[in-house]
Amino acid sequence: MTTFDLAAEGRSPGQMALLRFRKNRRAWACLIALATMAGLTILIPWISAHDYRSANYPSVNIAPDGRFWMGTDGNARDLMVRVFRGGRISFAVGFLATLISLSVGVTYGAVSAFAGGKTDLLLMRIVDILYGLPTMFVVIIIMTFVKGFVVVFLVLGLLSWLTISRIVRGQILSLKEREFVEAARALGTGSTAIIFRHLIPNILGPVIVYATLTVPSVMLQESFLSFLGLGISEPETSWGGLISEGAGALFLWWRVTFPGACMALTLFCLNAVGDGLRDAFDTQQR
Amino acid sequence: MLVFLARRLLAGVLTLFAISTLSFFIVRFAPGSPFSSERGTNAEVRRNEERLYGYDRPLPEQYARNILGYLCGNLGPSTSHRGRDVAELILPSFGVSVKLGAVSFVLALASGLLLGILASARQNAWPDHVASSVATLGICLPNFLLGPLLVMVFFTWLGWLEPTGWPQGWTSWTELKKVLLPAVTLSCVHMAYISRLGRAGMLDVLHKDFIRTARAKGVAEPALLLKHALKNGITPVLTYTGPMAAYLVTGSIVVEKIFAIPGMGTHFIASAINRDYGIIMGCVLVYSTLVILFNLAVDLLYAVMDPRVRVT
Amino acid sequence: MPWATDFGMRSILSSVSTLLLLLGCGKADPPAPGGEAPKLLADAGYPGGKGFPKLTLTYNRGDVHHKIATAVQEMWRTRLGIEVELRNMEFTASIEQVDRGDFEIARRAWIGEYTDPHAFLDLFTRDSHSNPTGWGSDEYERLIGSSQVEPDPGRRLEILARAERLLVEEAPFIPIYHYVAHNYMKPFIRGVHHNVRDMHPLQNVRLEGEGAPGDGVLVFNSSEEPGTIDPALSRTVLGVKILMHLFEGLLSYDPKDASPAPGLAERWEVSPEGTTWTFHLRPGSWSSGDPVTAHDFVYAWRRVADPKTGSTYAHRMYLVKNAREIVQGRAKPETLGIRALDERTLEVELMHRAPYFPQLLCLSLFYPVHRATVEKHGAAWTRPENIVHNGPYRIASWIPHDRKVFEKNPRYRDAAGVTLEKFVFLSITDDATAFQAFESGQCHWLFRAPLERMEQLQKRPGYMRGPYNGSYFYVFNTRKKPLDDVRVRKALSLAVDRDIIAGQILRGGETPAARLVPPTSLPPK
Repeated sequence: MTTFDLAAEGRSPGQMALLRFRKNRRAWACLIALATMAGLTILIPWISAHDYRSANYPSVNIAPDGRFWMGTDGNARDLMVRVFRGGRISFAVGFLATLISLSVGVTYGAVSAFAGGKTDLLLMRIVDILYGLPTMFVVIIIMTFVKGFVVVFLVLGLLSWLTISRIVRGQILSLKEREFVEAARALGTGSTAIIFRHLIPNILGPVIVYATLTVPSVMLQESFLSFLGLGISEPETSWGGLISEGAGALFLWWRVTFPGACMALTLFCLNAVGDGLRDAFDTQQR
Repeated sequence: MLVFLARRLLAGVLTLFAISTLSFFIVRFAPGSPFSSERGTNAEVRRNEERLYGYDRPLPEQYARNILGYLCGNLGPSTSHRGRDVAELILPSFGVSVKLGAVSFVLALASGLLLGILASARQNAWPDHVASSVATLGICLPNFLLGPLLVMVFFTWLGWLEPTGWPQGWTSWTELKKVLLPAVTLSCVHMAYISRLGRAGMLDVLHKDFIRTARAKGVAEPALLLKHALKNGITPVLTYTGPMAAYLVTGSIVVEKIFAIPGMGTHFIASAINRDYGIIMGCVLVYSTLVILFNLAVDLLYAVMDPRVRVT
Repeated sequence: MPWATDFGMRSILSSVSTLLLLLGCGKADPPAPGGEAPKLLADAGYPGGKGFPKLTLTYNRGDVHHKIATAVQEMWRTRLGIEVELRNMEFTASIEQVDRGDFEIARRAWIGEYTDPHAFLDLFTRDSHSNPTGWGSDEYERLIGSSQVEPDPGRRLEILARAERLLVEEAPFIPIYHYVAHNYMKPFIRGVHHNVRDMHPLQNVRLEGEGAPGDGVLVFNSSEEPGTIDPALSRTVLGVKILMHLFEGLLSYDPKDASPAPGLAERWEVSPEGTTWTFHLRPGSWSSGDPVTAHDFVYAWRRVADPKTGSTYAHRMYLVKNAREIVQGRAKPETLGIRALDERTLEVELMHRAPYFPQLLCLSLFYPVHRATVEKHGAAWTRPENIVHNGPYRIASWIPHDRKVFEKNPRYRDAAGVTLEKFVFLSITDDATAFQAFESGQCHWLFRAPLERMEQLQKRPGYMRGPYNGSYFYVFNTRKKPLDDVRVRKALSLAVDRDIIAGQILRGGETPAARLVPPTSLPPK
């Protein structure tokens, strides 16, 4: 019942969602775990005694010990530094690709909804056509030809904005007709002001939810690319790259367990936070 | 309905056209040539082979020839398997991918639904927790890790199943053993999603009035779950099956590599590596057609299941 | 400041660097150790690597290449203080970029088609089919040229050795290691012998003892898809391994040591000047029942050189008179230096002396083909249902990217001498997957294993290894600065610790290399 009381006090939908999210213990714990993980990816490569590139021959494929806490890889490099360094890339790819996907998707959806009429029809037909694209195949084709960190997140981002553009368009179309927008328009508020003051805050909820769920899916896609050998190039690495290197030699358990656990934990937390946010923003469920 | 179908099919053809144009130019502007060799080549030698395939003609002409060929249902020749057509190479491998996808589909649907129903029947009790843990695992483990893990457990440790290969026939257990690990690996994520969707859908229905009435009337719990609730609660799952089918057939690239399955993903990767332009284009076209058809099927399914949805 | 030295980070993240750079990067390394390499680099104007431009090292995908490139990158960073960027590409893309000159340092390898220094030294001549370095030397050309007319074998080898010394001195390449052939076989495979070409004719292989498959079918993983089996077009080592079972040329690999042994040619003579070879054929039969004649060889060889065939391996035939002119379209195929004196006698004219010619003749490029079949079916003649061949085996089934089944050819001239009835080639590309197939018994023979599994596998009975006629090296693009400076090239070469690469990364008995020609192509001491 608290939510209704809060609403009575005149809180914005965003604030209410935040309050509801705080009450979700699981999602909250996951958010903290995520922050910790992100912090570690920054901190550990910094403070560790090892460099992510340095080869410590003859310590090839050494199990975890006092010197190498997570063991070493096939090039005699410290795995712990590489796991967290790789995490940095995985996070960066996930977030940057999502950012691109959001900026393209939101703009596209909003423009389509606002333009209406024939433009809207045309833009949405284009989206329909692009939906038919076998995304992973296009990514593979592109990635066999061009390489690099920037390409990875650009390509993944540019190929995952379709759904968000539909969501945004749908939201705006329904909001456009609502009373408060009409009221604002009657009061002589300009279009730009209407978009920024009234519409964007209202579509923020679904966009945030979608974004939190896009990050893990992009991270997974990046890991597939790494598995196919089309990901980030050495000496950089990513969780996907480390896992795929380790998956071929499971008996060297540390090589797959540590990056695997980090990635699984991160994906799990991102999904849980996403679900929590969805519950928090989804007023109908209450 | 017919108008809807016609329009969607037209859009599909447009999509295919756009995709083939896009892929044609990406592939052709990329570095690499189908005639590079570990033995080195001379310029004159290379030119002779290019002439044979018409790759020495201007690009727009090649593009026009390609598109005309596709319109006539001709996918052209393959450069890496000389003497064979793209179509005859891709079709058997497509069959393999479809079979693998079908087995995974059944597995995902059956196990996902079972988990979902169990979880909803015993909400917040141990079956629910087990189901949700399995689902989480399915979503968080990339399948190139899950595959080797399953191989380690079921082949290296237990020795029950085969780690690689594709069955020649489907009748004996020794042959079927080869399908199980890849199918489970491929279906795991989808099983996870289905169990979540199934649980949510069932819970939604179980709290509805007609179930309470039935329960009050003394209908036994299993009958209640399976007869009354399942029919209504399954809707979200059914709508997921369309995209899932497409994913299963197209998403098997990684699984085919891990288990050495001669499916279309294997062909696609090999042709991308060898720059076999014909096969790359053929694979992209077949996959796109599939995705378009499945999307269409889902929309139709929506319309059939929910009379409120109008297809226009 | 830890991140001040981190060049790798900066270039990879060039356009989004700000975000990540703030997060801090790797550690600063201890100063580079002294030695000859840093001194050479300093002489060239880059003391401690200062001012050295960031070069790229191009290599094709593959676990071994990747590990070696990573290790070399690290060696140059710590020993010379220079950074290189790794460019990991698909095989075909890397070849093409390198051939176009769009590279600075690139991985190359060469498996000699014959055991002779010439097989390797030929790579660095000016008109080589595989010399992307831009390096060339009049003296080198002169030496290679005079080796081709030198009648005395000892003096010929001495000339070639001088050419190689010149090559090593000029360092357009970095030798890294000489190959070892690994064969991981189940212990029940009998009758396979190690040889420097790693060619294993399977005719007389036996499956005996514990664990031998009941159906008597040998399963081999070739690790890649063979592609075409047209003798004129096939250009890979795997192609030869398959084709030598389907066809029989003038000479064949001896099952024991893969030395050239009489095949269809019973005996042969060479003219005193070493350029005219006469072969006397024994009776053989095509799978269609027709006899194999000298005319089939004439037709097949002309077909290789004919530009209309589009053979990408045709340059290997340039040794035969007029082949180059025909491939270039300047002469008619009929002018090729091969003619049938009668049904059973063949005369071949070469451009120059070539003591290694018998070895070349074992290559599939020089096999005969059945004219009527090729003309009737065109490109489709190699399909299992069309193909006509003359070797010990025939194709029972051929599934791309899956099983290729071969069975004994009853029409083979020496069918009675073929003891292995049936064998299968798999094409599992992923080493870890192939290893699992080996473990499960679905496959009996691997020649590549995951690096991590090698030590475990090499202890097993049935493992066989020995020197292989190939070298692994990096090439420089000497057209680009600062690689045009021989001191820079030598410094880079000296800073590569081959012992670490052979001993720590490969761990399979590979020989660290200081030269181009592997020991297998040198005369025994």
